[in-house]
Amino acid sequence: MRNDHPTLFGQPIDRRTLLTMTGKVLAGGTVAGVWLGPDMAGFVEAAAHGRKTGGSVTVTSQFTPPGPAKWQSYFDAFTKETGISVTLDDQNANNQYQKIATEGQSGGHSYDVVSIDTIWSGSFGRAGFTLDLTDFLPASVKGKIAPPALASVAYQGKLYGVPAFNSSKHFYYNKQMLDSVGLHHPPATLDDLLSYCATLKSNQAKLGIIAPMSAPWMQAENLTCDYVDFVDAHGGRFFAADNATPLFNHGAGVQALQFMVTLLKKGYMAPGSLTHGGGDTEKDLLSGKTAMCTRWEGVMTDSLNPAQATPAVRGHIRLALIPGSPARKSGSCLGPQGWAIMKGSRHQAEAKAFLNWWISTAAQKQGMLQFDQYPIYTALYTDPSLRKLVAQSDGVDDFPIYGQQFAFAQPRPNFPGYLDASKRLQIHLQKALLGQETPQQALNAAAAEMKAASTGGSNP
Amino acid sequence: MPEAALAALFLAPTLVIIGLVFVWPIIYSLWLSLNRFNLDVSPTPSFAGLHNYTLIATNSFYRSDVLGAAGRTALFTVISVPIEVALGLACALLLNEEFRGRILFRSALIIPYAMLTISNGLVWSYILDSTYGTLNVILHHWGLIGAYHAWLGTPTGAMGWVIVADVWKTTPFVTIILLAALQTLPTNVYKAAAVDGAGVLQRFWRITFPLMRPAILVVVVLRTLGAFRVSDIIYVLTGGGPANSTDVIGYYIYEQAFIDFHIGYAAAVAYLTTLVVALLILVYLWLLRGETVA
Repeated sequence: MRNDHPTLFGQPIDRRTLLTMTGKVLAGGTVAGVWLGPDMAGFVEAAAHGRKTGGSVTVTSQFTPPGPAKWQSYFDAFTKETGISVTLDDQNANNQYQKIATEGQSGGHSYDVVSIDTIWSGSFGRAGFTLDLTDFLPASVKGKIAPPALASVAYQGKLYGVPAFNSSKHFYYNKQMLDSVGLHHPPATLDDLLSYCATLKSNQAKLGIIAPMSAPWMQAENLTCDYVDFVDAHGGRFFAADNATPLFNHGAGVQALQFMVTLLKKGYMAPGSLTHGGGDTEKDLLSGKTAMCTRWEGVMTDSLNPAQATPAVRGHIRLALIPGSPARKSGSCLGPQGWAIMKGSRHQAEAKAFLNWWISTAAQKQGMLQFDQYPIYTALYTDPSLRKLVAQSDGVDDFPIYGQQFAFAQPRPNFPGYLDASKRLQIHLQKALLGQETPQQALNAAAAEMKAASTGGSNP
Repeated sequence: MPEAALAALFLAPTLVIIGLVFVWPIIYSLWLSLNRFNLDVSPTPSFAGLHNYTLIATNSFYRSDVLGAAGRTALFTVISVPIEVALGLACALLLNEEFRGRILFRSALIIPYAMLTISNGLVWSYILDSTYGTLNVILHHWGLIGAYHAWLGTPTGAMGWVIVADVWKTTPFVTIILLAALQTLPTNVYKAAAVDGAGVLQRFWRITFPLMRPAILVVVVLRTLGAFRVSDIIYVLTGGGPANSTDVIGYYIYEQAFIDFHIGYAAAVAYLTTLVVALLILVYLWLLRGETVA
């Protein structure tokens, strides 16, 4: 197969079928309407009249998987409409923060549009690496974007990008495994989850699993995200609305960490969880080594991919809300990302046109169909045509569940220095998981250190 | 052209390169250490004198960070260096003997040293993976473990395996240095000892080891320097965890400089580390005084 063949949820699909489906999607109407900012309108008008503008834009993000070649065909629609050529700069997500900060600091001109994580907005905004785009989107468009997605690019009342996609952690489980031990519904509460884990553990040999669940609890940001999942599920808050005051060392926050300790101590988590990253967790589920996990989007698509899921697992993975508690139906951690324009970019008009195109309903829908990029518009989660197409591809009508989970999720703060602060939390979380500190001791120490960091106190 | 001028002309390119690659970074990083320079806050450094140095003494967060990293580095050094020297000496003694396949063994021994440290770390991460790792598969297959183990999942295990990975990579280097030294030892001394009835162990402790002492001290110095610089194996294998238990000073400086962008502070810690290493080298040089390399 050629590298530039399009895919749909990870499965190869011929162009004619994809275009037909796209037509059906677009025929369903738009949500935000066709908003053309002045930059994009200029390029569209020039392209429509056959005038070559010579515009180009470099877009930096992690495009693998499935690879820049597959993404290029998606961006060809933008090029066709505006005449602006798109160069993809594929960067591993783990390196992007350093690369963007180094580029910003050096005043370089290599990057135009960059992908930014929700936790980076404050750092990049305050350092002046990215453009202030507060006035870029009209209020009519902002009003239709899911608030978490908009918050991902916001810091102290300003927007330092546009939302790229919405994201949170979700609960995935192997339905066949659960059914085989008499568990015919996903766990609705955290108490259910413990009970399910006990049942699965007692049937470990029969199911061929190493543990009921697996978790990405190595000393990295995924550990913080999992902790926020459980804080939210217990009805607590990670940080106050001021983006600076830790709240997790009281009540629900302590219960959440105690819950994680319990999962580990009882052997409900795979032994390697303290060294696992997010990819390891998904690999364990899709290879049949565990029965349940929490993870970002994309697992359903991967579970149908023969290259990633074993035959025994393929087709049996389902999505559900992360189990909640009496205090809250469900809980999760938000992780949306945005697109920002580097201040040193020499193609700012083209970059703005790109952002305008990206947030169009058509591009959002197409991104969902082709790349599992969950839309930024709230209304799209109940769009019947999109829901039908997703159900056809997944074999399961689970699209609305994603929208529901986004409503039961909370953000992490994005103050400058958050990465350092989060690292300090991760150290204490691991000490609690290893039994070196009690959950209360760990969280009190972490809260003090994070508070210092959030007010600039940990900047030397 | 006068000979001196000609010599200067030929040396100039090398001196320029050394100046750019070695001297300039040392001077520049010293200047950085005297500035408050946090890349994700402000694009401009501001001169702050000894602020970054006194921060370690006055700020409890930084003090505990640095002392903790220093303690872990000392632990890493005190365990890894003697093991490397002992194993390296054993391999050198073996390779100094004539036996069939010696050339093949020498070639195989170089392979770990020739690998990039990052590649070495990746190989060990695959071996030690808790779900798919070779070590778990083999030990479980032989019935030596009942269930797969998370080898890097505890502080002791993580530090232990980081040391193993480092020893595996750097022992060949020690072997090469000591083998070269062994091969310059005078053989007539051994012949005389054999005539006097000295056994193998006696010849080693009374002749080989004393004559090898200068070379051994050289490798101890070099490996101590290497231990203080270790960061890439930590980056690949453990990321400093679990619970910061493998966050040694080299990795701490890397994190501060390239992840947290505390450039000035990281430069100051690097200079303090250099000072400590320099003191250690002075101690070694004092021990080495009057010795000549065999």
